[in-house]
Amino acid sequence: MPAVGSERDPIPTAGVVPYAERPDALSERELLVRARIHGDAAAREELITRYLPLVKSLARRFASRGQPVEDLVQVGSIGLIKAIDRFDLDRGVELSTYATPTIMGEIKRYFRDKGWAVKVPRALQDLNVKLNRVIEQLTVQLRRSPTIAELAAAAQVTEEEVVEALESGRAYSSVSLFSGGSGEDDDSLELLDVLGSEEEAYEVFERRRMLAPAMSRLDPRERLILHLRFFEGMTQTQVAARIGISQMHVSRLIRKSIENLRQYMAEDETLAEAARGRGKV
Amino acid sequence: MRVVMGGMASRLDVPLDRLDDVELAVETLLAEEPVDGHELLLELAAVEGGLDVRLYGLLNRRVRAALVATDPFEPCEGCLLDVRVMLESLVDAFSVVESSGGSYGVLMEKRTS
Repeated sequence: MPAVGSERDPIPTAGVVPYAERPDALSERELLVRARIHGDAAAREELITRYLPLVKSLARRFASRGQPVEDLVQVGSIGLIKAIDRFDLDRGVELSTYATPTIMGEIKRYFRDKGWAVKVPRALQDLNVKLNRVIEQLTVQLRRSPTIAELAAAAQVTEEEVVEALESGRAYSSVSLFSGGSGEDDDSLELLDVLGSEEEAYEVFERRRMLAPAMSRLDPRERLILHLRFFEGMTQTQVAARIGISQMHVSRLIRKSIENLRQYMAEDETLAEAARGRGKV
Repeated sequence: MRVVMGGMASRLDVPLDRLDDVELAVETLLAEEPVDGHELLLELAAVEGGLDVRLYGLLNRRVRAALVATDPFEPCEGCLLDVRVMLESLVDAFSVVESSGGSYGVLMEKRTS
């Protein structure tokens, strides 16, 4: 048997990648060029490997929110792969800059899709509750919806804190639509009494062919809220006054109703496609 | 997006319910877009007595057709929701402009007082 490596029989090189071209020896830029422009799967894999610590780091931020970190890493990895596949080499930014919000977005979407609200820091929760009260007081006092500056002054916080707290309030959207949340009691939620007949609202929607069959799947009270806002032309503040709940609560109810409608419409469309024999269910 | 709009609104003294309307209008248009990660451009501008909001890069032609339809009762066929009805309630005026690459933009005006 000839000796391997002898002059007569040099070390076989077929299939061996020189060190300088091995993915683990390439710079991030080189890997991105290979992955994005040349479709090099090994380069893409190496990028994923290099950025996995970032995914783990971001996933750990959500560690105390009821889901196994391993699951969040998996979800975050999907975000990483999307970021790599969509990265624009001409943008002049680092991959990490682009990937971080994509990974975070994927993890947050996971929580949202599962119906879990992203945990909001206690201080922001408290401020949100406080703002609910302040908004109601100022609305009565000013006879209009307050501005952020007015809220900040009344709550003795900065305008940025107000914006952040209001935004954090949306994390509670998975709470039952009519479950108060800001001090309203159930007595204020007899919405149908306000209009007299919820069928009237339904008919208006039907006449307009706005939302077709999905409307019938909405809670009657959801239909009423949408009717008052979109067909009676009431502002959120007016709807709030009419029904006896806060403007912020009306805002949440409108969003939730629309979200439900959109979901029902998408489901109906999927079923219709399936019935036509060309869709997927 | 909402935080940015909130920051803008705080400097313009936009009442909360009107700010919420603008945010919902933008979210409504976004919800009808295909989810392929294409780029959108959102511009906010303070004008006298109000806020101009411009959203460019939209691709859903069915929504566009509904927004420019001469018959206001024409349904938004194929849309998840009737975007026109919603925009008519949420903003004070809107119009459609063509932008590059076959996409279009929606210009919205919201009075703040």
